[in-house]
Formats: sequence, C-alpha cells, structure tokens
Amino acid sequence: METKQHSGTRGAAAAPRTSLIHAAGVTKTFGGVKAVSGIDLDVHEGEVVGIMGPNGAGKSTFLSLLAGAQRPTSGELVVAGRSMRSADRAAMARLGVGLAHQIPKPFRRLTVRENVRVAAQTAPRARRRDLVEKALEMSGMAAKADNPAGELGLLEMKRLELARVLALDPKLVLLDEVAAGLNTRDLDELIALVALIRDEGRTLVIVEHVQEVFHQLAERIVVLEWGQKLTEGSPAEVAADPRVVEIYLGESSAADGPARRAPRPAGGPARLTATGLTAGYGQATVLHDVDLELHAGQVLAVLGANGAGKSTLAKSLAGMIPIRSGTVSLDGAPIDQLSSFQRVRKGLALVPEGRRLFADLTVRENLELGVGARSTHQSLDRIHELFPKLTELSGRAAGALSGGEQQMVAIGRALASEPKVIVFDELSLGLAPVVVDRLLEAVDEIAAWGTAVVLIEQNVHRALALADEALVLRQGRVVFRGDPAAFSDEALRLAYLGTDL
Amino acid sequence: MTTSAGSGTKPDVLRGAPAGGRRRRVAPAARYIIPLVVGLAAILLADAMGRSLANQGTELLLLALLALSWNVIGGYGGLFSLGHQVFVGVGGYALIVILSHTDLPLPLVLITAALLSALTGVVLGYPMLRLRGPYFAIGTLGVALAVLAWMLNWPFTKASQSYPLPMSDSLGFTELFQLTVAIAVLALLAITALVSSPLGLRLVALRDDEFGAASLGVRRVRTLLPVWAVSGFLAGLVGALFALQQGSLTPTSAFSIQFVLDAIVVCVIGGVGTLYGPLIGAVVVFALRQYTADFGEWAMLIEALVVILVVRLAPEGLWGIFGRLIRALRRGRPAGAVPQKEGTS
Repeated sequence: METKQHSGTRGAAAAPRTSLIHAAGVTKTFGGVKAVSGIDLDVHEGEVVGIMGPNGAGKSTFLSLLAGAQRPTSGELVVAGRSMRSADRAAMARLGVGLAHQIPKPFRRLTVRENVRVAAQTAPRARRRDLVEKALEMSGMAAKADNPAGELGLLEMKRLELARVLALDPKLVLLDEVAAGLNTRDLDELIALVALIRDEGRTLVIVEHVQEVFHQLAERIVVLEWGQKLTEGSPAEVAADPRVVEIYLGESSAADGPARRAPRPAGGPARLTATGLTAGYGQATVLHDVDLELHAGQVLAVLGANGAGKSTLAKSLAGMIPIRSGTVSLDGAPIDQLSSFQRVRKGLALVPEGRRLFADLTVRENLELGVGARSTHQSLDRIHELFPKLTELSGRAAGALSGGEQQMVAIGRALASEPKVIVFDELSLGLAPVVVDRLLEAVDEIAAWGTAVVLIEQNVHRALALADEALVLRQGRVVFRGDPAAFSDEALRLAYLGTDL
Repeated sequence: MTTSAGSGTKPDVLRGAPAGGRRRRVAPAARYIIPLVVGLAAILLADAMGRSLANQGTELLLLALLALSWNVIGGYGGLFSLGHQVFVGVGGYALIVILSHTDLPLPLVLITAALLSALTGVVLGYPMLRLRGPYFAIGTLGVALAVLAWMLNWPFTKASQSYPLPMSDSLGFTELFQLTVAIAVLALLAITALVSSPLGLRLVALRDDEFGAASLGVRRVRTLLPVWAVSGFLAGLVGALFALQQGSLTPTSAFSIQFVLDAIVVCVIGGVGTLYGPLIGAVVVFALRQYTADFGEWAMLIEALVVILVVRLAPEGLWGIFGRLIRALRRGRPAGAVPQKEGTS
C-alpha cells in the first residue's frame, strides 16, 4: 500500500507545525478595482481553513493567488515554501498545491483514469500507478475508471476533480466551491469525501457558500468582505459575530434607506407570471419549480444566499438561458420559447449582473443601443430625468465611469426599450452604500411609472423595504413567497446562513 | 481483471464494461501489427502495381503523411498550424542540398533532412508556442510567408530558380513508393505510441482545458515543444519524399501554402484528433481529386462542398462516424455471444 508520510501531524501536541501559507498584506488589483486588499493569513500543515464572504468579496481571487493562477499585485505571499511573486499554476501543482475548481472541467476525451494519470505525472515514475489507483479508490471513481470523462454526471465530475487533485499527492488542497450545484444527498457524499482527504492529514483551504461544508469540516473560518479580512475564528465564533450577519443580510436598520413611498396595490391582470420554472446549466439543475406573479408597478424582491439560484432565475426570465420546464408569460402570452432579444421587444428588459456595458462606447451610445422597436428616443428623456448625472456624462466612454455611474447607464439602457417588466440582477453588487441608496430610489421611481420590477439584491433589508412581495430561494427552491413584512429575521437567517446559525 | 467482475448474475450491467475492457486490451497490439502487415504487403506487391499506380500510391501516402503530421499538433494538440509548409520546404530543400553537396547514403540524408525540419520546429516553437488560438495560426502563417520570401531570394538555394535533384539520386516509381510506404507505416506507429504515452495524455489535457492541465502540473511549452518537433520531423519527411518524387524544387512548390491547406482539409474530412482520420481523409480527398480531375475549376468547388457537408453533418469526421458505427455494433452484438464466452472461461 501507499506509505505516504502524513505531512500534517493532526493533533500531535507541541510539534511545531510548518507554515504552508504565509500571507502578509496581500493585495490584488484588476484595473482600479482591489479584488483582494491587504490580507494577512497563516495556515499551518494539517489545518482546515474555510473562507466565506458575500459575492465579490475576493474569495475566489484569493484562492487563485494561493494556487498560483494569478500573482499578487503587492504584499508577501509564500505558499508551500515558494514566493508567489514568480510562481505559476503548473509549478505550484508540482509543489503539491492542488486546486479543485468550482465547475469541474474534465478532459472530456480522456477516460477517468487517463484524467487522473495526467496529474500523477508530477510524481516519480515508480509511484504514479499507485497514486492513480489510490486517487480513484478514494474518490469512489474506481468502478468508472475506464469511462470517458465527458459522459459523467455532475457529482461524478466533482469526484473526478478531487481524484485529479489527489493524484498530485498534494500537501495543500484548495477547494473552490466544490459543493455548488449539488443536491442534499450528493452534498453529504461530497462532504464525506473531503473529510476523508482531511483525515489523511492534508491541509485544506475551502471556499464555500454552502454553509454545511464549514460546519462539518472547518476548524477556522476567515470572513472576507470587500477584499479585506473582516474577521477570523471558529465556525461558532464567526456565526455569532454580528458583523458577519450584517454582511449577509445588510444593515439591520432599514429606516435610513429608501422605502416604499406608498403601497402599490396589485391592480389588473398579472404582467409577468412564471409557473414551475426549472432551469440549470449542463447537468446541474439550479432552479426548481419556481412560481411567481407580478403586477404592473409592483416590486418583487428575490432573495437568497449565494448559489441559491437568484441570478439563474433572472437569466431564465430574460431568456439568457433556456428553461428546462415550466412557463414564463408576459401579459398572458407565453414568452419562454422566445430568445432574449425577442423578449426585450415584447417588453421584458434585464439589467445584468456586472452591468455588461459597451466599455468603448459613450454613455449616449450605450443608451441609444437600448432604444428598441417599442420605444423612441423620447424614452431617453425620462432616463435623463431619472439620472440627471447621465446628461453630463453623455460623451464619456462607459468603461471610464465609476461602478455606480456604470450601473446607472446599465439601468438607463434597459429602460430605453420602455419595458413593461424590468429585471435587476444584483443591482448593488460591489457598490458603496450611498450609491446603492440612490439606485434603490430609482427602482422605486421606475415602479411608480407602472413598470413591474424584479429586484435581485444582496442588501436584504433595503430590498424588503422597497418590495411589495418577497420571494426567497434556498438551494434553488422557493422557501418563502409573500408579504415582505411577514418575513422575519429568523427566516432570513435560515435562508442565508443555514439551519445551524 | 475487468471481465470477471465477480457478478455474472447481472449481464445487463456487465454488457458495456467488458466490451470496453476487451477493446482496450486487444487494440494496442492490433494497432501496431495491422499497419505493419498492410505496409509489408504493399511493399511486396509494389512490383506488380506498375509505375503509374505506384506513383499514385506515393502521392496518396504523401497526402496522408502530411495530414498525420498536422494532426499530431493540430488535432491532438489543438494548435491550428498554418505554417506546416515550412517543415515541408525545409525537409525537401535539405534533402536536395545535402544530396547535391555530399555522397551520403539516401536513408541518412532523409533522416538528416527530417531532423533539420524538426530543429526548425524547435527554433520556431520557442516563440510560436507561446501563442494561442488564432494568434498561433496567424503567427505560423506569418513565419511561413516570411520563410518563403527569404527562400525566393536566397542564392544558396538558387533563389526562385528550380533546384534539381542530382540525377544519380533519383528513385524509380516503385522504389519511391516502397520507401514512402515504409516511412508512412513507421510514422503511424510512432504517432500511435505518442498519443497513448504520458506525453500524449498531457497534450490532449492541454487541448481540452489548458488551465485545468496547468492545475495538474502540465507545463505548456514543455509539453508542446517535443510534439511540435515530431510534427515538424514528419512534415520534413513529406518534403524530402516530395523532392524525390518531383526531381526538383522551387520555393513556391516546396513552401506552398497548399500543403497545410491539404493537410487541414484531409484532417477535417477524416476526423481531426483521431488516429486514423487522416488516413481515411487522405483516401477520400485523393479519390475525389482523381475523379474530379477533368472538371476543371468545378473540382475545387466540389471539394469545398464536401468539406462543408462533412463539417455540417459529421463534425467529428468520417472516422468519427465509423467509430460510432463500430461502437453501436459492439453494443448490439454481445448480448448473446460475449456473456457465454465469459461463463466458460
């Protein structure tokens, strides 16, 4: 049998543990954006460390720095004894740093075993066969070893992803949201497998949205927000920290934010209806059986933790991804078979996550591109009234604007088609609170025009204050739908932070 | 082994697996033996073929060999080279120049010419293999055009004039055919070994997911460079054999972009990134060109139409269709036959 020296001396008292990760002031900027900012972290051999934080907090970026997939802009980062200023991904893999990706991408035309063999080539020739067989065995893929990797199911692909990492005989295993997209039973199996890897004494750094993974595996959790380390501690300590609760749920005092001006009664027939909406990517079904109904002038807040299926809902409403089953209709007419641009013509516009502006075009050009068959250039006047700032920015390139200004352009572009329904996907993502308030006021005004609004928003309390109806997703299913006022903080915590919190 | 699996009570579950397992164990030996037998037969029968048929056979095999060469890097490596004519030209000119200036035996000269071609690949590979996707294609095309321009002006190789093969070194049609068969068979065997080697695995891994491959410790240039050199070596052999067949070279004949275009068309029709696709493709393209030879410009149109049809209807090429048929037959057949065999053993 394999006689790998357990590098980690788990539980061995007093033995000084070697440092596997030493980060001091690690910063990574993309353009002007600080994705990771001044992070200090030390991880010793045999530890299991979890990294959590909201979308855009810099978790995946930090992990890719640890893996050598990207290089830090500044700060000191030493992983497995190697300075990350010069390391690349292949070199780090050869040093025993394994990275399991969020979306497993096996080498499709190779068999499962061949996939694993690629990784084992980093080991001396004599050990390769053992490494491959052991990795297959541990990951439970031995029975499927000769199957083409392209024909595997999602859980099997995730197992293969871990098998490939194991075949590197890694000292340090980095897991990037490996639990994403799995159902509860598969999740348990995956957690059991990760626990097995931990029990071999390997060091683990886990980035995860699915809280169950942390509760069962991590000894220490680092919470990131805005690229910075917010706090660090045991799972229990972190869960009890009010700041952590706040970053997931937004500020608890909604009073100072914009609120509904007046109740907007649901008048007339439904604008947008969805029944039994089911959608996903590849083999993962992300959204199960969602029903919703929205009237003119109403705001529907869609809430839920990261990975709950919010953006998938937005995309399937807007026709960016095909739906698996169910119906979507606008003013009673089915639109689920229409392509996204046809839906825009019918009156359903999307403000996509990340804005997706045409960076080299000016603000005016971006807005004019939004003017469609149903609208005229007069629609632009209304947009300039809504965001007067856009008038002065008119000739600037959209790519040169600040995040908040860009979001205004994105909203304006969607409004230029004079939609009956507008879908905001992560409206405030990565924006400062002041800007968010301004944007939410605009949402309120847009609803007052009689537009039906689907609002996907991380700032839960603010979103609920604006909404006429709330829809809460958890692991792709609707767990609450109804009056936002009836939705308690307890229910929110359950939806966002899991049962144990 | 996989065939026993211990549970003969569940033939339904087992039906797929042993077929796959057996295929995997039997095939490697057959993959080497069958080409050797076919090649040997062709060499022995060459005398009976007559000069014209032998010459056609040589042309067919050169097309196949060229496609095999391109397929190693373009198909298995996913690097769309538009510069393979450089290897052909270097191989061809190297052969003629060496034969003109020395008395070395032909086999040695052939190998030297191909090695020079591979060396060209190594030198070009260092900058070129850092490029990806369309940049690699354009980069290699640019290099090829630059080399052609150089050759048209280089007095050492008689610039744009024809450079003749010394009369004493020219081969008869039959001899040349036999030589080409031998080289083509060895090339096929070498590629068979390469693609199932650890290097071949790394190559396919890089093609399927470059970042994933890097995550498993695969170093891109280090993996691609030897494969690129092998591809250059094989294309250099094509050039050398082409020189022997033609009897003389000009830069525009030896460094013609038509070489790489032919290679791509053959691979696309036969199956890019498959072991035997280039062979099937070469046969189809060659036959097509024979039949449409009298149609003038219509011939090109017909060939283009065939390429479009294949891309549209069988994106994995003719070998892909063939492979699917075989798998379907295998799946259908063993219902009665195979489990019985297992029961007795």
